[in-house]
Amino acid sequence: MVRTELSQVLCDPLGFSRQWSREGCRVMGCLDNYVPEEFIHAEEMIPLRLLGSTESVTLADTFLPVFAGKLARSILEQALQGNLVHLAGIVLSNSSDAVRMLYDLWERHIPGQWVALIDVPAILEGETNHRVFRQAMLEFKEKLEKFTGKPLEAAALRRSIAVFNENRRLLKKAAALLSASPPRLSAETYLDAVLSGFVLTKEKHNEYLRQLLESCRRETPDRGGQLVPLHISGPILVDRSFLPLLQECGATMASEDLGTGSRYYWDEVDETGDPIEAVIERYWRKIPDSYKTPMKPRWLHLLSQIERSKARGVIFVIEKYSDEDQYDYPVWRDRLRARGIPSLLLDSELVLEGEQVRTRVQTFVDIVRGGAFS
Amino acid sequence: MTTTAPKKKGRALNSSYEAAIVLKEYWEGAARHRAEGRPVAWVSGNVPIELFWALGIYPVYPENYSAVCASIQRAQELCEEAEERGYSIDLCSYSRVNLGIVLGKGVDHPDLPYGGLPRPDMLVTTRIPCLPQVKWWEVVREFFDIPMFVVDATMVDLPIRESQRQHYLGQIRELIPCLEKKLGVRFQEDTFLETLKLSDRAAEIWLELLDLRTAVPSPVGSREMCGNVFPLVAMLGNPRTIEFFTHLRDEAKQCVQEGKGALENERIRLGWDNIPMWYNLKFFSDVEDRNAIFTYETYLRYVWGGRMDLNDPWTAFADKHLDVWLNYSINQRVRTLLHDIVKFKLDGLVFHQNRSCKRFSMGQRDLAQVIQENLGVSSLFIESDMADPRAYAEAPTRVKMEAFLEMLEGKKS
Amino acid sequence: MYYAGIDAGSNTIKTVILGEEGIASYHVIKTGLGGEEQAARCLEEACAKARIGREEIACIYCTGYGREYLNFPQGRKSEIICHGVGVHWILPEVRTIVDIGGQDSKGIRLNERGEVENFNMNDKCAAGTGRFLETMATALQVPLEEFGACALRATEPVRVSSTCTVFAETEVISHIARGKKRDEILLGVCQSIVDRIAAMVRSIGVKPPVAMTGGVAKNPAVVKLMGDRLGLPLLLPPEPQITGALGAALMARQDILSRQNSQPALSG
Repeated sequence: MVRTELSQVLCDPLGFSRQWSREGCRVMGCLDNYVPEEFIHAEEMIPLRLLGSTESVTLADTFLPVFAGKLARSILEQALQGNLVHLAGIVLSNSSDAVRMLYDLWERHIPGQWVALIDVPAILEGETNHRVFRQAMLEFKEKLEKFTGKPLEAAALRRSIAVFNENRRLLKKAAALLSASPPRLSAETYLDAVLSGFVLTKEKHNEYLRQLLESCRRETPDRGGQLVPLHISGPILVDRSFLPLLQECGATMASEDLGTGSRYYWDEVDETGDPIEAVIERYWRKIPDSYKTPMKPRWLHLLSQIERSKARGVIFVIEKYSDEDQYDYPVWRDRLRARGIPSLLLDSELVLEGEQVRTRVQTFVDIVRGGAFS
Repeated sequence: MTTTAPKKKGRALNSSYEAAIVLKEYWEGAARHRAEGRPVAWVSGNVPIELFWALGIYPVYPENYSAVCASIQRAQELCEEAEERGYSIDLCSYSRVNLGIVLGKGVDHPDLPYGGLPRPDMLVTTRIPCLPQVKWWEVVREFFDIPMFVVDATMVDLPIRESQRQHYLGQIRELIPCLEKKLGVRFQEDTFLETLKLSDRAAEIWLELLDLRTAVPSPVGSREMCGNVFPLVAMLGNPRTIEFFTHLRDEAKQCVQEGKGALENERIRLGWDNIPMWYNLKFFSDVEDRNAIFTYETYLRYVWGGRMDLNDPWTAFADKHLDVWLNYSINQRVRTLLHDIVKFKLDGLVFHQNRSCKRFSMGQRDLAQVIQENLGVSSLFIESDMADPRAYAEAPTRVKMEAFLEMLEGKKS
Repeated sequence: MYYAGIDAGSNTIKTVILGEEGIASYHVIKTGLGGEEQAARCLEEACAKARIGREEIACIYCTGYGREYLNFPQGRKSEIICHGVGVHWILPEVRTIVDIGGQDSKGIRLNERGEVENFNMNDKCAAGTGRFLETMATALQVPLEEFGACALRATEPVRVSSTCTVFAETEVISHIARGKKRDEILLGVCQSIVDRIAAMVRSIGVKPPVAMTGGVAKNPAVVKLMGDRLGLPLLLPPEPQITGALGAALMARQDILSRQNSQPALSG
């Protein structure tokens, strides 16, 4: 039942958020993992993660070349089509070059919509960068306060932090059930659970997650045991048809370190001390995404996930033209190979094109199982 | 209607022949420095270059080396070496050439130009031109396992904000002790300030040279100038740069005074946006058959060099590094281009949609739109790549370029 | 007893019937609008050639893009695995396969048992595939079968860019307009395919000997240029287009034999 609710949210995320706008809530479009959603929440707005759409890009091609990548092009397309007018505003963090340029294009071509750039460094090392990072976050806070006309109250922020932290803990529990042997939560449901959190209010999402975890506890684990457990890595995975395909090929996702997965929710905010500083610190210290330096903590996160899930192989789902991830991939692949873990690279443009992907995955699963004839 | 004038053979400026010598001296100097056991850093575009010359650390530019490989038609094989190792064909071709060398035959393979790339003791890079630059360096670090320092910066709308300036300087204050500690050098402010003077002098002459190209007819076209720019990238703070640029400037000045142009019958003046196609600089001179000349490039004017007010050297130093085209917001690029098109009396702009340089290429459509609307200046888009010749489609590009020139000729008459 | 393998590709459907003595027959037809019907027709034709009834076939395996849509096979395997098995049966010494099909190209590395150790495929771009060759053949009005032979008559290839098919097409058309020799353009097209996929192939770690399969292996110019690029002569199975279907038939046989608890009899 709760599973259906979660997947329904994902059929039309924008439609869902439009409903809130009609009900008088302010929805704030957010782009990337370095937007402190807690601030937005504490200012009584609903953060909605922009993840583009699978529809074809036409209007945005006037402004962005194909090699800007599908995510940036698709989000600009949504805006130019007028599909984001219900949003109170847009918050972009200075992540990839394409997203940074998207901010400029937004200002030029989407007139009248409030848009904020959180101009944080890409290098999350050193005292100076730390100071600038903090400053950029504080500037964003002030901009937000000016927009809503009310100061960010410490008490409200503490409540928001508690809600977000609970959300993170619940998702971690879901990840643990996914990695259990046999899995106590299917990969498809797990992905739905994670992705729906980008759309639902965190309160509602927490409620659903609690129900989901409760039902998992009651149910006897699935037979899934014969499926080969794999780890999925990459910046973004929104194509839900990928997991059924994986299963048809005899494998399942047992863990992940996706940008739209555990890298988003893994780290909690310290609930003691000054809440504003604690939120900023959380984003400074979180598992860095591929467009941030250093890369080591991300590698360690990937490894720890694999160790936990006992995944027998890794599939990298990487967006075409996402340079940051494309540079990481061969390094990760070689490091994994040195540990005897095979990996496969799949190109994605928000969707994983059917047949070629099936051929690759099927062959990879055969190899992981050992020998072509098993 | 159009009469094709006989094309001038050879360089418009004799001093341009010196470029190859300076380039060779630079790479030989790097090899010598390495051989003598003095410190070598691999650096990239828009690093605080003067610091390295002041500290006696040889700054080696793999980017330039990739461009050199492209110009002698060696880039494709090296790109393929990197692709073989899993580096996507969609990644920056400078980086693919470099990774092809580093991960392939190795940096000191005798088959490479100038006897190869000297091994680095340290890696210094910056996010100013683009973020992938940092990722590329991470791969290089993975291979060499040596210290790395990255200078971060956010994009600017001029004037530069104090917070951006302080961000930059704060990191320079971290970089200096880091270089001292890792490479055993000693920072002396006097030497550094001297180096800044040399750098600023070179930039001043370079800008004078570029301004001479506002003259009608223009004394020198893009093909030659792209070959001349290298010292402005890598050798700011080195007196040799001043010497070379002075030769160029003086010669160009004389041409302008005598009313002598690179073309005998200049009819169309063009501008170029983005990094050139290093394997195909001929593209620039091919238009000369039709009495057209490329006389302006955003790449040569705003990516390297820049003046500094040495009364306030540290502020000027920071600003110079932040005030570069690739670090400009689209709005800033628009303002700058509108100004320069008038200044250089351009009839048309050619935008290179360079697959390898996204930061340069994103926003170009906005620029084209604005110059058309505000100044009635037309543009042409060609899709290609700065170093990977596989992305260049000769025939359709030629057809487009010819049609564009015909259109501009029609507009003029 | 007979076994069948069907390789339902994007351009052609290939069927191989395997008997106790080896290949009993094979048949290749255009995929056309494809579907179950076309595959069934291909199977029937192959049966007719082998002079057997379809009921005599003990097991059918299917591979290629169409494998998921066919209802009759007892097993489905990816064409990568099938090419490996098929080539290993014909040329057991081969350790690397370059397969260029209608829609994609692959590099496949095998171990001494014919099992896939590593593989790679082209990205989602038609450059570097048989489809590209076909389009160019149409543009240049050369029958596909003569493409390679004509190309080899040229000495200097015309440069054809290789990162984008659409570009390359316009380019070829304007080369024609500018009066370039046809054979030189043909050679340029073959070169561009090799340029496009050489790195992909080498990324799997090429081990000799290398064989080439797929429809494009029938083009001697591509075979030669690829061999030059890899610095190795390429081996060709007698019928390079059917190795996938053959592999599927061998896997069908393996399926039945292992059910009968026999020893694997894949080589030979």
